[in-house]
Amino acid sequence: MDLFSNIALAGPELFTLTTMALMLLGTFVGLLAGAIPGFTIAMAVVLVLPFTFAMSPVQGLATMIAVYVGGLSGGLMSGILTGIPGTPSSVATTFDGYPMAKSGRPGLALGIGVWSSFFGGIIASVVLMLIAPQLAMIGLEFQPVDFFALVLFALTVTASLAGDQLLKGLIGALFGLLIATIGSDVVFGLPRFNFGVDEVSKGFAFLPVLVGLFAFSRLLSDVRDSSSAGQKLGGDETANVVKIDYIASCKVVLARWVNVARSSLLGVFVGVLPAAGSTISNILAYDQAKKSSKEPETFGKGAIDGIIAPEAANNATAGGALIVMMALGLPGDIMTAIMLGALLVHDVIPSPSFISDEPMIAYSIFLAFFVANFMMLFLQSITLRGFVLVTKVKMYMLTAVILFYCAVGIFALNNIAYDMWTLLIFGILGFVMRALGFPIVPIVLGVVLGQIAEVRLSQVYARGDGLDVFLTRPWALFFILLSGFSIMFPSYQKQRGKKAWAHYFTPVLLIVLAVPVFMMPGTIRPIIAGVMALTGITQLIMQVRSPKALDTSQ
Amino acid sequence: MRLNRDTAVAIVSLLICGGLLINTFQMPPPMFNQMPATLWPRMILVPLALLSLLLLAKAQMAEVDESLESRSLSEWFTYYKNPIVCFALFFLFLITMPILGMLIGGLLYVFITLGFLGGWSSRLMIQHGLVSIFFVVGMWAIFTQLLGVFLPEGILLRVY
Repeated sequence: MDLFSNIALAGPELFTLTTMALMLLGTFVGLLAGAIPGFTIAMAVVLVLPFTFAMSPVQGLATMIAVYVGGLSGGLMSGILTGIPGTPSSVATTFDGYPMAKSGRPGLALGIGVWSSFFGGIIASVVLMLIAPQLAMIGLEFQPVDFFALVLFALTVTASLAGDQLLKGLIGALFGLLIATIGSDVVFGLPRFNFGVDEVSKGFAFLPVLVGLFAFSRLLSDVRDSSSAGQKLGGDETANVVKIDYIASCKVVLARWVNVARSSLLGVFVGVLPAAGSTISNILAYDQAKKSSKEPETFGKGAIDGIIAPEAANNATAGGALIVMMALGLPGDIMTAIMLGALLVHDVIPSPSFISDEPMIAYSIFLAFFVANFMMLFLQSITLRGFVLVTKVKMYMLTAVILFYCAVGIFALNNIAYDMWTLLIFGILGFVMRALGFPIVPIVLGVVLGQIAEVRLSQVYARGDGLDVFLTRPWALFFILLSGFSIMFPSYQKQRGKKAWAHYFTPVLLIVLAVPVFMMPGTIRPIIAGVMALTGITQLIMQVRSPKALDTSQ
Repeated sequence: MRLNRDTAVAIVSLLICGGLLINTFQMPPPMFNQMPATLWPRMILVPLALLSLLLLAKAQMAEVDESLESRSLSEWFTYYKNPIVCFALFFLFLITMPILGMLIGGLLYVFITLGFLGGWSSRLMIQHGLVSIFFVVGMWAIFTQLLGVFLPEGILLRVY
């Protein structure tokens, strides 16, 4: 059965008045959850889950997908307006969204974020429906060692985002990993670094750590002196003239279609990788946008591409995660893990034959993801005006209220006071680290990825794989090599056009990466490797012969 | 030895690494040929210690920013007064939660934090009171009534 007949089969099941109303409600709940710092999409999806038991599988899953898509987009509102990502998937959005909002252009920043989310989601939907089985096959190839290498790569990327502070970024990433080791080990659950305190044996829940490191440190940095505490978020002069021009922001996003397409495809790719997720994809996309930009120095100061990339990528990641969950039964992130549970409740067992065996449900999910993006756009265009009102609030008021919201949201996660103490401790830690000049993102990512890395390492260990597996597994080698280049990237960026070696960076990168790509199975990837190697060699020869390169080296 | 901010950070980091590394030797040995609980922390601690040494070396070679070094303890407290008080208030909010609960404790916490950061004039106090009631009671109602989350009610509310 082809794509269109599958869509025709699923359409009538999905496009009922009840399902559409439930999806609209789900999108709104997701937007609300994503927008409130400390209240995550995962929490919203968990809370919605019991309501879906009484629904049909298509209705239930469509509602949960709507919450998911809404939540991914809702995070941008608080991220841009307050500098606190509503969800981890909007971390990179704050890098440029918040500075742009603070510089008096919150309407433009929000408009760009909304449209980027929309296009990211739409591109992901189309990609999913067209090449879903092929994408799933890539995820299937990954072994524990590949995941471990991917985690290392993600950490070096975030550290390299620190630019001049690479050393502190790396220390921060390792420090984050160290925090994740506190509690108990992943193999036997043996207590580790708890120093006799029973509560600490459980380790630290990720969300209180994230909110503490981000929210507390950021909010309290903003109100450090009384004059900044009394300022309005969007600036005193501009707060009253905030206007969201949807047409202008849409044009701005479309003018940067290469970034939109690249970030969306990267988002889908990361989503396909189980356990990687929008937390990683938004940062990777931001990094790629910065590397590709002609004006990388504007990043972190309100660059348009710095908002487009993470927002397009995080919405697209949801699509990639969905296909792997449906095709392989592997959750790409916590949200798809919950959805997997919902599928099982409805006696639907995802497996490689799921799409062909249950095309109606499978394509209903694809369509629901597609439609949810339109609903998100529609609802955000209504609710954004409400959220822009936040810019008229004085900073200290927002700080006091959000700190309380964070406490309530964190408590609701597990219903234990210990999490709120974790919030306070990591709030202080984040503030101190920030004051000492450490970038916070590598620390947070270290905490998120620490346990994943340890689990994968233990699997590598259990399989009896030697260290040579990092060289013999193509994906592992690919990510290890990329990690090396990622660490060198800040120096390359600094020396580009100044030192001779910087001219050889890209050609060498292409040639080196061609090796693991060539080792990959099939025929297409070795051909791609050949093209990469040839391009690299050609560029290398041109650089050697170029008098410009020689001049620079002298 | 130059004593600057990064030097202090590097020394503290090295002490932490050393302490934790020693602690890994007190952990139980691995069982059933599985990965020992000490392997992953050591894989983190060793590069962390090396990078801290690098930071120490860089801090020793770098120019000292006098503006950062010349701050006395009282000046330091004045400089970070707002965050310190906010953290202290949050600490009080948590420690009094078993008695005051999330609702009363939250109202007091938000009101006092608003007053401390914004000022105590009568007009502001009315404004802060309204903000506290609207947002704290609103969020409390959403969580408890709409989402069915059990927030700590505290001894005071339990009595009445």
